[in-house]
Amino acid sequence: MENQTLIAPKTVTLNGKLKILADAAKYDASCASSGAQRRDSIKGAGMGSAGGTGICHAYTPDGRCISLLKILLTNYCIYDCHYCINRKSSNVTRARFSVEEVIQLTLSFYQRNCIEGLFLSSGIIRSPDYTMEQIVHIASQLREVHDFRGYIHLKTIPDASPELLALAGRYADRLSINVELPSADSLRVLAPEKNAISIDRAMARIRTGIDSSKEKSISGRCAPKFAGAGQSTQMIIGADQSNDSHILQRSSQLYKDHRLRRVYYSAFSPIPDASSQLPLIEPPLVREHRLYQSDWLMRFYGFSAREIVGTLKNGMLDLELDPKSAWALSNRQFFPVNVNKDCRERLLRVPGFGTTTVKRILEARAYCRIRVSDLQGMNSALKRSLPFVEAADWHPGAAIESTALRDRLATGVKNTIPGQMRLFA
Amino acid sequence: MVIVKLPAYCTFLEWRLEARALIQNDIQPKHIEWHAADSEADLLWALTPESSNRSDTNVVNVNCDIEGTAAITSSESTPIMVPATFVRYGKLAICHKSKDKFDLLYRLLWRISHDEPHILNMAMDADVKKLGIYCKSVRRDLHKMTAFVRFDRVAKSPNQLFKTEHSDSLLNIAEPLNEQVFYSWFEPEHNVLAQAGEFFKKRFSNSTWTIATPIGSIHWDTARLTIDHSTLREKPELHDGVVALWDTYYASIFNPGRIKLKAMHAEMPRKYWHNMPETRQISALASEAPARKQSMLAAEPSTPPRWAKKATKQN
Repeated sequence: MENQTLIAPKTVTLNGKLKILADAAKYDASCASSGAQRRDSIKGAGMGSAGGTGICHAYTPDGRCISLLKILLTNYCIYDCHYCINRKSSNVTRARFSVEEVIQLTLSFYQRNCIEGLFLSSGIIRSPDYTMEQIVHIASQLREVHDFRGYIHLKTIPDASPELLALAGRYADRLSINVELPSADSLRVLAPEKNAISIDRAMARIRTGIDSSKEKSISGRCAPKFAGAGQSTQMIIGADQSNDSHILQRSSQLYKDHRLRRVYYSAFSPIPDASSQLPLIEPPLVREHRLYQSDWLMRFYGFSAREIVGTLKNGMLDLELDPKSAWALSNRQFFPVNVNKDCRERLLRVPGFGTTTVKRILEARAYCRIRVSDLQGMNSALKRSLPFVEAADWHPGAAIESTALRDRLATGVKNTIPGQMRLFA
Repeated sequence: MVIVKLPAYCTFLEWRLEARALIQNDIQPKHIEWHAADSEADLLWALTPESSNRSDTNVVNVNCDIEGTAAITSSESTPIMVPATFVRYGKLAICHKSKDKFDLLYRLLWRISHDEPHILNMAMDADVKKLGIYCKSVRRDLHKMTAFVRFDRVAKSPNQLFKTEHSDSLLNIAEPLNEQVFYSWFEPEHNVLAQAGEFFKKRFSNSTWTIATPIGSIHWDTARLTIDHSTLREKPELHDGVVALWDTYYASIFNPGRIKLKAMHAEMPRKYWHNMPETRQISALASEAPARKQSMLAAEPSTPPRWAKKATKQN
């Protein structure tokens, strides 16, 4: 377990290591702690519970939640990915935790109710297998020695052996492999040691592991558990030339092929000691937000990637309009949707109607004819919805054709950069 | 007029007993006045020094005082059928700090048992909407409590609090969990102590802990959960050694390249901050962020470290 190959300064305190190795981990957007199998510490020897919705224990001024202790085992790395703060050509300060330190930090923070668990990742040291072994070792200690029943998310190294992957899946609630960039070409240029095919292969392996853990044998025995909270991935937005159309199609394919729980989009944001090959930019936060909205439409609103992509100009999402409104404006012939007669799928297409509003409409209309005043009582964004719906006492008439409709739905972001400053200041 | 006296921190079961008797006696909502021992004054939710010794408010009185109406018949006579959602919502709404929750629940029960059995499906109805708002507020408060409670490790029992002394006082992983004692102070908006107690019991069943609040405390001794509304504790000034490490983590995981204060405030309202030590850093982190971002954007590329050339994959 001693530091190999690359020597960390022995004098760095635990506090100092935490500073370096949390800083090194923050560009990974994922911090989810939901979807784990329900369990608790009642009959156990240690601490921890999981299951149901995740819990965010704090929020930082960047608007992101802190749910897990998200750290790197080490930020030494033999890879040279240009977008990454930890690439070997960067002069960032390096450190490495010992196995005991990671375990102590996890249990101490958990016992004080600061976190739901651990999200452990690492720079690649020596070899993918060696690194993966270290990660899996920490998870196994937490589970088997300390009977820790909180959440564990392990970042998986694509080139690590299938045996290590299987072990990781046994201890972790979630596994993730970042595709990093939307296209194989970008990956080749910006992350020369990574390779889209092996990333894909590892994701397929995880999916197989998850699928077979859900099957029962002939005798009815359950298979050993494997990453109960599924797998996720992350794409960096704005580091390469990929457009939104490309990104959304890639996500849709990932959801379909590997049954991912989540694709995270992370606006490429300035890092210390950046690579000369990849000029830094203002992080495209509004674009990131629109991608998440589109992702939601695909996962919860029955939209296909093709439908969303079909409304794009130059392959880019409209920054001023949410993607559902953008779709509605390009498909005006689809409306009005009748709130008293139309099916759930049609209701979900109405701008301003969320899944909760639709559920309320469906419940209430079994007993009465819904009027505009009823809608007012169910939905706070009614002004946006009215031009698209028909109710017992309401027909939008020519409002659907109105050219002013766009202005009514737009969020007031006029141009990207100052707009972003206004929105998030 | 029927006056119903409910115990302090009345549970849904206690309320249901009273309500069932009232419905069976056909007493209309407008003829009932609900009184709970804890809503006489606002003292529970805005604790003042004088009110900290209020053992009298914990007197349990489940008897109905009925003036000028027929006596209550046996509660077994005719069962009242309510949808399961009413019970689910009722258990949440009963925790709400408002005084009109009993009235609202009874009015809905009356409507369900008379000619509006489907009323809970009508989200636009004013009563249903209010019930929804109460439940959401309680559910959120409970969720935020499970998220924002912070424990400090203390020496000895919660009655004699001593800060643990070690400088880098991490949990000593060799020390048995059941010998460790933790203490927390939290200010929930509603009376969610029972549900929060269940949550933390499952999570930390092998150590001893207390969560003190302005309306009572939750105590777990590794075997028994106690909710005590009668002895109120003061907010202690305690921070064990782990707080410094947590502060470091909080500051380091923050990305100065992206500022979204509105999102942070929406999810972590300011009213919780004074019991979360890490939030003391927020104003400095936010104000220094633009300069930190600018310096990253403006920095010249550097020469790679010497070891970088040698560091390659070993198979």
